[in-house]
Amino acid sequence: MRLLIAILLVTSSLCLPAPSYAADKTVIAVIVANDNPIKSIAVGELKLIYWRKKTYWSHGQRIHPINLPPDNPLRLHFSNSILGSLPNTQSDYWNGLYFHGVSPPHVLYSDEAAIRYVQETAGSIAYVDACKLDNRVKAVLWILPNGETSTDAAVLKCN
Amino acid sequence: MRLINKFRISSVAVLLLLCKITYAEEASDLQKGVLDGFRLGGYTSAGITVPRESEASAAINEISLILTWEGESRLRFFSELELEKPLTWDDDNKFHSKQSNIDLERFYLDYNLSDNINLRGGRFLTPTGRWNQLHASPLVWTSSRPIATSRLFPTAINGVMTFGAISLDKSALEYSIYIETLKDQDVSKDELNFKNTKGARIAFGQQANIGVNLMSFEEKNTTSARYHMLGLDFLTHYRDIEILGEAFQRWDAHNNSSGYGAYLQTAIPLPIGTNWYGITRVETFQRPDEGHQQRWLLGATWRIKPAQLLKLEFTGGSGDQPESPRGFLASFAVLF
Repeated sequence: MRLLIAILLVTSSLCLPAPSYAADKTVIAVIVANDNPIKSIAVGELKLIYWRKKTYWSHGQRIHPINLPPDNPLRLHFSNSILGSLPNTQSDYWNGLYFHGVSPPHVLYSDEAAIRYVQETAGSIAYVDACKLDNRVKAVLWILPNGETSTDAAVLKCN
Repeated sequence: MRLINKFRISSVAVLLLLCKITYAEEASDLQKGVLDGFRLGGYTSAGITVPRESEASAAINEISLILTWEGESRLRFFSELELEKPLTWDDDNKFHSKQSNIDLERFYLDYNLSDNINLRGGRFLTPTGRWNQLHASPLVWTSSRPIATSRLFPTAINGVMTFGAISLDKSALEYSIYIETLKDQDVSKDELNFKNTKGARIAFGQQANIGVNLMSFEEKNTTSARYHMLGLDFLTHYRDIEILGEAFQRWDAHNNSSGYGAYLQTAIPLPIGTNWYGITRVETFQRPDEGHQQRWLLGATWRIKPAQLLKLEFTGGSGDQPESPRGFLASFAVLF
């Protein structure tokens, strides 16, 4: 029993290697509806939202997170930077959550679809190419190509 | 009892007419009305068992239906109704349904109180360890269940729970605290009988990879009525190898050791084809009235799709348990 517990403790300290993918140079904007009272969002909170561990905003509105398709470069960048893993490695997690009645984020197929959805759906949150953003929605976080995040719009340089 | 079963079946049948079937990997549409908030899914598995010391059998192991509802309010409903062993074949009885049983596995309402606090009331799985919370056949690598996860503590209760997740710097802390408020109304004769359960769990890591469990409960038919239990569990990956482990230790009211169990399991990608995994598991287990048992398992599992598994395994060791017979097991499981 002691030996087995020791093995359990040693193996639990092994680290998850970082997944690799072709890095995208796009700056990502995390967006919410203009009438959403939040002004910025912490990475930890965003992570909980996209893992579906946090399902309500602090003002009581249900959160509707939006994903792009699993092979979309923005999705790969977002997933790797924020969630720490790529979409194709997450199926066990989502199957497990499905067993508890929780579905993964809704998938839309383009930045424009995501912007329109967020504009029209209370409580929704999505991520898009920051250079495609306009005043229909507001950005609450920027994710840089190197994976770092910023709440300052000054990081954005669009042609 | 028949009346209760009829009620369970008819209530689910009615709800089946109202809802839409979804899949784990398929994103759901936003709900438009109250009835649109219903979702139906489930899982099933079938397999053959060739035990070392009894005759072979084949069975549909279970058909489980999961029905959920959520709208724009803070309320959420969840239920799971399981038809256990609806059809079995063995050499003596040929096809029969003598072991068939309907079980209301889970039935609860969740209410979101605030950012980090949710309340749950009803029948739910005790959030103890990993296997117990994700025991559905398409979600686990093996046909047999580690003994330590089913015969040391109550796996489900009727009660209330508060739970939530708190974001930390680069990870999260998940917690749950629960207490039994209504005695189990439907205990079969082979089932261990627990009562007055209360406990807590915290889990932390990138995806809550390490868990610590505390539990207190009474167990009938043992010399000491009240037990306390400490459990540890983890899930990690080293390269492409999944490593999963759980350990539990029980103490009686006089702080004497009164049962323990642990297992360590690995799933290693095999070079023989796409999505084949080699599975190894070692287990140790001891209960006051059953002595010490050990188990080893060697198997291969083919993940045909993310929600479809074909499992082949050999199990050896000491003693036999209904959920973990020694011998050869093969099964196919699907989440739908």
